Amino acid sequence: MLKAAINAELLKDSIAALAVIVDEVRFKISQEGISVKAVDPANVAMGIFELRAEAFDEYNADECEIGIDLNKISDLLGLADKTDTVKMELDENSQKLLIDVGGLSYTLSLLDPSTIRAEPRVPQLELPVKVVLNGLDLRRAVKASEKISDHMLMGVSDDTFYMEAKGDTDKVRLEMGRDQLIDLKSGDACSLFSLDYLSEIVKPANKANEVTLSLGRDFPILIDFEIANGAGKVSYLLAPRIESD
Amino acid sequence: MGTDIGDLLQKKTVGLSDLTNRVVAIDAFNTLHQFLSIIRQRDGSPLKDSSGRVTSHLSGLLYRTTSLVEAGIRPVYVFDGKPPELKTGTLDRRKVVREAAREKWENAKEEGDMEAAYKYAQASAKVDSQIVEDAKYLLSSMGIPYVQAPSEGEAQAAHMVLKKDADFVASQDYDAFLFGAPAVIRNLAITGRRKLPGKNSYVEVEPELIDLEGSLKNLEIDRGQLIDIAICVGTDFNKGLERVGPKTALKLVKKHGDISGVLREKKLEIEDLEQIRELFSRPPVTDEYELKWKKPDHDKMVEFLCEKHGFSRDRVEKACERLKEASGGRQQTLDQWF
Repeated sequence: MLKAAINAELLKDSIAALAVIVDEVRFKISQEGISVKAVDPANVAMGIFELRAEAFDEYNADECEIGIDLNKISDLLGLADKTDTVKMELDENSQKLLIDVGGLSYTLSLLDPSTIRAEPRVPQLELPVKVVLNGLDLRRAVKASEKISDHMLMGVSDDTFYMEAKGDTDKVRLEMGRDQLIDLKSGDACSLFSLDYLSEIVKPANKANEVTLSLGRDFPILIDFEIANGAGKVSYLLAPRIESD
Repeated sequence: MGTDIGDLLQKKTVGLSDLTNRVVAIDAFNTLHQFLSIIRQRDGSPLKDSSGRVTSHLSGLLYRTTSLVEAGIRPVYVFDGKPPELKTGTLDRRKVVREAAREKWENAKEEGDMEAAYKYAQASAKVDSQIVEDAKYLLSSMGIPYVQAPSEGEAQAAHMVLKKDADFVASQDYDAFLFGAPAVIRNLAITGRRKLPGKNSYVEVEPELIDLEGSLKNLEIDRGQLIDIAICVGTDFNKGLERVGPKTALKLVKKHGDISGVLREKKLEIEDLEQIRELFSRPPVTDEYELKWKKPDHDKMVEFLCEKHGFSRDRVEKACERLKEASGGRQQTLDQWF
């Protein structure tokens, strides 16, 4: 069972955050809220998402699992105003989600969850370095890197966090010291990431005042930020690229 | 070639994209032989450079490997070493067939029967030491690793998968299973079609993945029994029992437990049975290899392919560029961190 109402923009952002990873997801619904774990088809990036009941204007649910086509839902949310309230009600018998937004009533057919890739296991990683920065700074560095390369180095040396991209002839580098960062746990970290993924991931992170990056040497990166004023959390885990000689 | 146990195994069609980031140990002889028999002109003559040296294998190796690398696959070619003594009979027989085919090819060409010429030309294809040497040189200039097996290449490839240095063996034969390979890919061709032997038509082929454990479970046998079934049917090392195909062999081995039981029951003998079983279950392999994918050496490729063997400069440049692009860095996957 699910009966809920939520701000349209918040729902739109949540769907966008998931759409970075996959097109179809399994929503795990419980009394506490909604959670999703999904990995992209190439096994390179994972998204871990949770939106607790407090994030909703109204929330009533029993434990269940539904399959959602993210493109469909983001299409219909595209027509909603930022301040609209989206009302959702699950019809479990017909496996449809009734969505009411701005006077429009949608009946959205759900996907059979068993046809969607199962929730992935989350690797337990020891990531020695933590960098907390503003989402805008991260987005800026990624955007600059996109112009000259298709991958970007992230690392910490001494007490400076750096993001660097090298093209065939050009190079761009953004350095941030302790005073420019919100927080830093220094250590040995330097890994290379594909901008194909990173560009998409930093879009939803853009709005977050605090984004936490956990890094290692030639290791995956964990990117965490809060949504819905702390009533939700998005984490991405992205595998690195390793340069050949 | 190899053992005809394909019908017993469970196959699953896969796309090249399912193999992204995977290390595939390719049976080099099997692949080169394919190139030599497929890449031919209409009258059956292989591609040759201006000095008359065969280049079919180089052409195949260059384009296929490039496509694999571009799909994110990490290929490693495994070359046969010294054939086991037990294989002498098979090798001698193959030589006779090849030489007969060569003669028939010449005759067919003289008579102007192009279809027959093509067929016999294919059957006369031989992977000789020059072909192997050329192939190794080309691979190293492309930055692709290869491994020299002490004996059977498929056994070495299987060993590398068992050691988790590779994810799959790629071969058209099923022998890698007998050597214990957990997973084998067939039809790792890029063209997506293959000529039917002896016919002027093509079939669509897709790579297929066969997993040993699933197949054994399905058949309710163990690997030792699979080896026994293969020996009943006939392998590169023995002739097999008369009028026993894979299905009958399966029935017999399951009924009698192993091949010794089958032979006792049928009052038959297979020469060197224990050595053959040993060869499959504990083949000679080596741990001395290094799998490193490097950037292609542009100058070396151009010098070897264009200057020495008359390849079009344009096409080699393009292939090199594609390789370079794909070998710039390697995207890792999350499952490597469990």
